[in-house]
Amino acid sequence: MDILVNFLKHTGFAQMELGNALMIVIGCVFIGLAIRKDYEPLLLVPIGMGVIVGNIPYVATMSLGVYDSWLPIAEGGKGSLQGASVLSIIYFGVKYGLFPPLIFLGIGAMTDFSTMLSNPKLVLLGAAAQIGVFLTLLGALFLGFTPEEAASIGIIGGADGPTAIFLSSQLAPDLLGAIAISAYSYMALVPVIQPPIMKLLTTREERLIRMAPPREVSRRERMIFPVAAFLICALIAPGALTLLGMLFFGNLLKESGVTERLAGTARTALIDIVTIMLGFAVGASTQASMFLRTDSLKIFALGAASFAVATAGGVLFAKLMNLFLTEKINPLIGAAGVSAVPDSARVAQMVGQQEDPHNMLLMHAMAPNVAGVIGSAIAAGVLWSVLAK
Amino acid sequence: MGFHNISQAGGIGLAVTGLTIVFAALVLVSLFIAGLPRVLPLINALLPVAEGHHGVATSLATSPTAASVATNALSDEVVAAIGVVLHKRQAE
Repeated sequence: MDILVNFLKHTGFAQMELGNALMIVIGCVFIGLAIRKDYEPLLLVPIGMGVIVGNIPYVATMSLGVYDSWLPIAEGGKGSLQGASVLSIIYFGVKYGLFPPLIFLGIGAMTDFSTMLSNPKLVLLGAAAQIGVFLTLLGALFLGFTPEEAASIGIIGGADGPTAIFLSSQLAPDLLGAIAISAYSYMALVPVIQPPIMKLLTTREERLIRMAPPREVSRRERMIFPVAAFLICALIAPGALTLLGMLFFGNLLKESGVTERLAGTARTALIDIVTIMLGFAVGASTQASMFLRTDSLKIFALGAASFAVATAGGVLFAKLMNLFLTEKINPLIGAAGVSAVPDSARVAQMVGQQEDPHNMLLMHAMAPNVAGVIGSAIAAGVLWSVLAK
Repeated sequence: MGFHNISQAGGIGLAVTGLTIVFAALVLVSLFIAGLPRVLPLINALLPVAEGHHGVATSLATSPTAASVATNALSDEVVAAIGVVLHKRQAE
């Protein structure tokens, strides 16, 4: 009987706290949003399930959670992972910034830079949208976060989940869970957040602007670009070396034409495996005791503001460029400088087609979109270089 | 909470410098892309178009889509020729 009573004391039901229950509901909401609304299902399903798994209470002496500390210990020439749990080993890839560069490798292997190469001025829109990063940084400092934490929160405005995870793992590991969940949640909500801002900041005439089709880009240009662009960016911001190195390496695998098998693996199996691991581990890191804090609410508020500011920055900069250009840019594609690939480009297309169903903006919007990926990685590199201790 | 946190951490300087560096890097990338088509003829002259593995010229100076269209067109011709031969044989 004692054994049964003791066992019952250790069940999840007996140890469940309100915070755990709330987080489990949040996990279920994520899964529901992914399945019913099709919001970033590849991310929200692993994250949602991770949130549920991470919030099942367990006996403290059992190694079951992501935060169980462990060190590889050599005993008699054999390695052992004392105190390790499966979740903590998977979380290793998040904590030490292993997964984000691998995600970038896959993104590089699936990205076509042709539209950017055909219209280089659109690269500037990807830079303009990074204002969201730096204004959010100021907002986070205002709210009392340390510079390292503020930089990690600011990068949410880059709308790039892997970059946000990478930087916060280096500068503010304690906030990693909240920052990752915030970044991915708002990335999933790009189709909801961006359109009102885009419509508010543009006139109907501007939304109707049609852009000339992009020129044909030679294969040689596409092969030279990843190497040259990497050299330019990494020499300016060496902190972005890992992310950009993997991004452009993946792209070189794709464009070289001789490593199609490697490119195929990077953009399919590899990125899928890493996405599963990353999403699940990030979700499981949101244990109620770590996640349900006032700071998390502040991070969510700042995250929403950063997406809005980044969108506005891109749109307004496109309007500014139009003052000097003879061949006008549709300012809606400025919003695609927020580097949620390809969602923000799709939003530009969707909002444009609401005014003119035959206006194809998607290919044009992909240019600032991929430039935004590069821009947010550079921003992360700069912040890491400046703030790393 | 307050503006003194921003000034104490040198926030304005950090934000302005960071944004300037991001812009500078992407402006350089943009200038490089803009200049690339002008440099390409020189590169093509120094490193001419390579022969492919199967003796088919894989022009690096033209779009791969053009190359694949050409290959597809060739395949279509071969298929059409085989079709004609088969049709004639059946007719005989």
